[in-house]
Amino acid sequence: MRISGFVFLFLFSVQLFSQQKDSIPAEEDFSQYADVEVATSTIVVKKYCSQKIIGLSPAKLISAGYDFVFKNKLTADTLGNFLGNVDTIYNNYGVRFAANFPVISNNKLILNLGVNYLDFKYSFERPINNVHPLNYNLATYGLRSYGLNGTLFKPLNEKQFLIIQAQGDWNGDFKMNELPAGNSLKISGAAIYGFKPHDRRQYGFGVTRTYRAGEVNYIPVFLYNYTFQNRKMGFEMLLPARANFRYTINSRNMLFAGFELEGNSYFLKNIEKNYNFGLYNNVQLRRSEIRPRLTYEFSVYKFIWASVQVGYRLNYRFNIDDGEYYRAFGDEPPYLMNNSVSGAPYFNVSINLVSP
Amino acid sequence: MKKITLLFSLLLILFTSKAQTTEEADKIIGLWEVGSGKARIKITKYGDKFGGKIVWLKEPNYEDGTKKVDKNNPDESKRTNPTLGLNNLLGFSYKEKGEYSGGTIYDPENGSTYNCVITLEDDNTLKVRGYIGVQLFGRTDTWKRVILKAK
Repeated sequence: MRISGFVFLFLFSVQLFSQQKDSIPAEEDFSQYADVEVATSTIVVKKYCSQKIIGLSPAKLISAGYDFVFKNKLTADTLGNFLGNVDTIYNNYGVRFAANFPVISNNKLILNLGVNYLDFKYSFERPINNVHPLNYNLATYGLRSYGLNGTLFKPLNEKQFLIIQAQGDWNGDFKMNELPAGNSLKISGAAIYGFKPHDRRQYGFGVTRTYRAGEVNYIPVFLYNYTFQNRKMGFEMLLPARANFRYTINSRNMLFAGFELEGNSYFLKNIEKNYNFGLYNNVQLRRSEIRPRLTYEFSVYKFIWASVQVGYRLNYRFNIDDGEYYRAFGDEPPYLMNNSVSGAPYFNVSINLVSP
Repeated sequence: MKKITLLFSLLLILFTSKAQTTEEADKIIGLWEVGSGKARIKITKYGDKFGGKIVWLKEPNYEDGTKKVDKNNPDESKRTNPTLGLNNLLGFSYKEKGEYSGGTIYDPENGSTYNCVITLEDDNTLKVRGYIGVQLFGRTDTWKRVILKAK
């Protein structure tokens, strides 16, 4: 009994000594922390610029969305015995999904690997039997894309950085359960050398191989992100792909006005069957559109953000090639078909998990 | 008598082991500079947890000369609190092998609080990883220990 009492007292005293305040003590004269020296260490840490600037909209780690384009018209070109015609499309719609995983993310390097999926359906006004094969094909199969991408951000020092991005997309009229054909693979990429003079501005210059204009292009790119001194407004641009003026209502509500150049090249294997001429073996639809738009992004709960976007879809290209061509300047060689789709209003909604 | 000796030996082992763990855990206490060099964080112990506060900013004022405040805090009542002195690390417990977990890190630049795990790489280097839900969705920053210069 005496021993038990002694043990209790001993443990109680240990506990008493180890007890401290349950909150961080209030401080003090902060000026004393200005004059310091770095403690020696076996690990050398160089200072690097971060990937973001102050006020930049949060990056999307996972995004699931729905895109809807209102009534528009498709003007299909003549091909062989099939005369050109104009058909009304009730609407286009499709889902969009993207996920980006920061597999390496530290001071010295950020590597994001991602996947994306989108489909684009065509709902025509009149029955699609016995119509132009392009219309038949789009109405029956629609367009679908699977993509894999990687983005590397490498800060060189406190003011300069490199961005290298590569993407592989399988685009075509294949079904969900179908393996995409080799002709549907489109490789794009970009390399940018950038500067971050201060925490509210970053810019960079580079080159890209891109299909945003429908067919492959090699063009210069310009990155520019800026937040005004009042931190309420700014620009987020990666030209010519996209540009946005940003207005920050608060850190959880943001408005954007801008545009995006969106497009890719789609391998249409079914249209080949429909033509049944045996003449064409690599039918590629060059789809490209410009989307001026207004976007509202807001935090629903912590890192779950929603995005609501309204805008106007403007056709830039909807032509068809038989084969792969690179047209540096002009329209040579000529397209197999010169088609177009009319402009139309659209909306897009998405729910997103955003990045720290 | 044998029993008492045995009991004291056990208590001594227990106490020494606890003291060693405490000493190991307390290595995180001190002044740290974040990777970008734009802020210094003072890490202290409160109760059995570790936490930290912002004690120095490279740019303590806005461009108009006013002092930076926690204006992005989701709690409206805290938006006028100065950034200097803000408790931005809270609730860390020492696990083992230099790892502190269970805490959160607050970023006054966007008003977000992230899960966080801190690893003491060596006595003067910290790896601080803020993340959402799972550690995959996060970012690691390397902090260096700094020492006040002798006056």
